[in-house]
Amino acid sequence: MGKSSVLLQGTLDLLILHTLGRGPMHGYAIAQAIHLLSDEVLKVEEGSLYPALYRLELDGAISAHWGTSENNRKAKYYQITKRGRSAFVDQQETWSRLSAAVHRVLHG
Amino acid sequence: MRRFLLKLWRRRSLQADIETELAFHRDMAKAQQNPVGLGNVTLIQEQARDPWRFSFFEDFARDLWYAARRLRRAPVFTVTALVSLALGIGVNTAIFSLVDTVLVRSLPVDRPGELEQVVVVDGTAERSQFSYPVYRELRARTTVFSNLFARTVTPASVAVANRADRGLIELVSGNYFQSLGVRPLLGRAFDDDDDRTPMSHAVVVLAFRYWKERLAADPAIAGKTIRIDNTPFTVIGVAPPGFFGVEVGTLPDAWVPLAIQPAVFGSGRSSFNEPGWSYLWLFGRRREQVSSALAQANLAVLFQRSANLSRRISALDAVSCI
Repeated sequence: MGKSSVLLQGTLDLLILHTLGRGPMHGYAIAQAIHLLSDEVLKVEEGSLYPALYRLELDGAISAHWGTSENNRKAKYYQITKRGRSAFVDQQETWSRLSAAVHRVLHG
Repeated sequence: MRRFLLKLWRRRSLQADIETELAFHRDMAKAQQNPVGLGNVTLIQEQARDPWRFSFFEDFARDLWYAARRLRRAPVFTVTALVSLALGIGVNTAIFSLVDTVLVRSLPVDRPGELEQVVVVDGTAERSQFSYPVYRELRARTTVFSNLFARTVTPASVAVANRADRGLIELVSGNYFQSLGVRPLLGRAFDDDDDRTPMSHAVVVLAFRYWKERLAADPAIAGKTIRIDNTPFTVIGVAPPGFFGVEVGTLPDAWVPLAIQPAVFGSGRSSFNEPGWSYLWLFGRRREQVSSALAQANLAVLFQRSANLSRRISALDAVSCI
């Protein structure tokens, strides 16, 4: 999908939190996971990803630590926190309601 | 608090962290031959760092530090700036206190000590400008002033022959010159007869300086025409040198009767029946044997009455609108 696929405001947070639910990951892996899980529809640019990660970390939804990557490089790993999990549940509900409502409008 | 401590803790390493992390991301993408949207690295770094900043304090401290360094490097500029600031502040104070004491006593008019400005103090609010209907009412009914005159001042274009300048025009009631006891140097000053009917007398009295500088002190100026905001006015006289009106620091180029107001002030709208449009400063010459306190009391009563009048007129306006 081209440049026109704009992520709805707030959905990137949701996707990141969901992805991290599977375990600690570095930024690149998060972007890859979202890309693959969406059947290659969604492409997270680094320009959106890192600002979002840093904001989530500051909000306490995720925590970060430096580790070693699969190719032996220093990489920063993100992990979802307890606070992050409850935020995820909230946001997921909001999202389901929203997308169901949009769907109803478009197909109702 | 948690955010604050977190920010503090990570302050020093933040920039390096972001750089390392972005470099890692790019290397990974390259290694997997995954096309990366080549974004602006600096911008991404800024955006990632933004929420982590102590924006106000950090910026302010940095700015202050930067200013100090720059100033130290340019000592001549610094000294000049400091001296200018000090002088500017000092001189301002001086001027204000000077105007304060000189204002009334040294006006270039006949017996300035008898002149009073009409100001309404309502609680802590002070009102010194009034509408034309209020002025008309006060002037008709006051017993403590031998004269009550009104003035306002406006910028306007003043054109002589083909040359137009930005000028300052003072609109005054017909009794202005007579009240102040100012006799023209040349020609005549206008009076109440010139100020009775709206838009009837387009006449103008020139300031001495304007006459000398722009008209080369033309001795036959009376009867000639100048244009103020594109309306032709007949010059009837020239004010004496040194006369600037009643506002220290303001030197109008010419005086015109208030009845001509729509032509030079208010974009054509007539103020004569608009009690809500307060634009006139009022001055009076107190009668002999009338104390300032008595004058005040008299005005207070009158003003009350004219305020009622204002309300009445507004009510009528409202009715006619419907």
